[in-house]
Amino acid sequence: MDYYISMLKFILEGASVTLKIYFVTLVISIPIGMTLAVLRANGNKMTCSIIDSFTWIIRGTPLLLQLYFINFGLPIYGIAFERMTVAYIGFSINYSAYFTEIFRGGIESIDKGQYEAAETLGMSKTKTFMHIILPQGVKRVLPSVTNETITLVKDTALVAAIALGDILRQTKLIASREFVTDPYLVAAALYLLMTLVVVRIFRRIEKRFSYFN
Amino acid sequence: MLAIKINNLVKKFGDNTVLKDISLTVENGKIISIIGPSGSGKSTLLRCIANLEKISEGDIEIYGHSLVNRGKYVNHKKQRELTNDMNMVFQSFNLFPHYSALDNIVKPQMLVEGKTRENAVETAIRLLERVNLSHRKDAYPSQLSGGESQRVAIARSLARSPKMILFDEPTSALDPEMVTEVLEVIRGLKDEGMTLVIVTHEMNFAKEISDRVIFMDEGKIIEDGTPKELFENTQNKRTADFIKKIL
Repeated sequence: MDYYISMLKFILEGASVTLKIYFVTLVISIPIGMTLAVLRANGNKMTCSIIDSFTWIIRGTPLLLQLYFINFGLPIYGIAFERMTVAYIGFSINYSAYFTEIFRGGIESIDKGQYEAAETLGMSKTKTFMHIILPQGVKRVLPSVTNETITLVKDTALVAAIALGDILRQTKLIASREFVTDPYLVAAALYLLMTLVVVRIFRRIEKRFSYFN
Repeated sequence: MLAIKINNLVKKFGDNTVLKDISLTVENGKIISIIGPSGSGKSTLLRCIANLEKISEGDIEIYGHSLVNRGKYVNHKKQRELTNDMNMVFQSFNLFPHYSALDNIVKPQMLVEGKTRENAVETAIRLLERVNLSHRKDAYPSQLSGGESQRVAIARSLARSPKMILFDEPTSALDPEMVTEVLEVIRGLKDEGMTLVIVTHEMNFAKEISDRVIFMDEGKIIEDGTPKELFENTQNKRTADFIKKIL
């Protein structure tokens, strides 16, 4: 019994690291992604190519490499962060790139006729975007955003590589120390639980948008 | 007074010249139909007037004010002012799917004119009654039939109290049995002294409602006259062929 309690405590300590990274990443990367997508849809050539290069580089290289680069590479140039900060920065930049592309797809999928109808009625560009394009775009991208946020639950496990004690790293430590396998099951259950919560929340949001097609 | 005055308009898409030297005037309060085979440039012309397409050369004046002079457009703010009295009804309705029929009419009034919701709703209800759709006010566009959608779209346009409405094939996307209900609504606008420019394939309707009919082919205006002149006494072979084929 004592073993179970101490094991659970140990893994739950990891859960707090995992959850912190998870929420900070979402809170930073969704607004950045949305902003970049809007800029990408309305900006000039220069802005577009900068944003395209950003998403290409970030989506085209492993997240693990990016974490290594920030954690081990940048200090060589005198730029060093705490490991938690490294995780926040790395994950936020990485997920911003993915969210940019998701939102961009959503914005671009809206029929040209919607813009034209709004224009002929006299709506300004900003109002057209905020009231006509965005609500429809958000609905369209919800399934992809759900997917991405589920992926993030599991991607957080990569921080073990920069020696942060997240769920998986704590689990592995205790499992190899005690030479048992049940900590892995506990970890799996925790990940599943988190994923379930995410799915439930997004289902609710999708339902709120289901009044129109 | 002229609602629209167009001089030597040329519109190119890349190397493709779709409108060739179009000159045209529309008097205030008149109803003009534009007919012609598909690909003749009639919808493009209408979209140029609505400022949804930019012309390559020529002039457009709206109610005596220059929108574009020798291919050069006035500034964006001025363009907005000039097109403010003008509205377009589309072939594919372009209703806002996330708003109910009522809100499709209410929101633009609030967003553009800054009306209170109460005020805007009052106008919207009155217009829905006028197009015989007050019982459908809470329906979303996906629940409306084509004919209902187009009537909501017309009500949405009217709510902005335009002086002029441009109709781009308003019945082409509709099942035959729904054409009549939409034409009936357009017919009702005739008595209000509104300027209407209608691109249409409904020849009988064009003949009956129009003060003038314009026949276009291959990016040019071939003939411009009263319905009687065009439909009964045309001297032009191309017009005659087209009308014979379609009537």
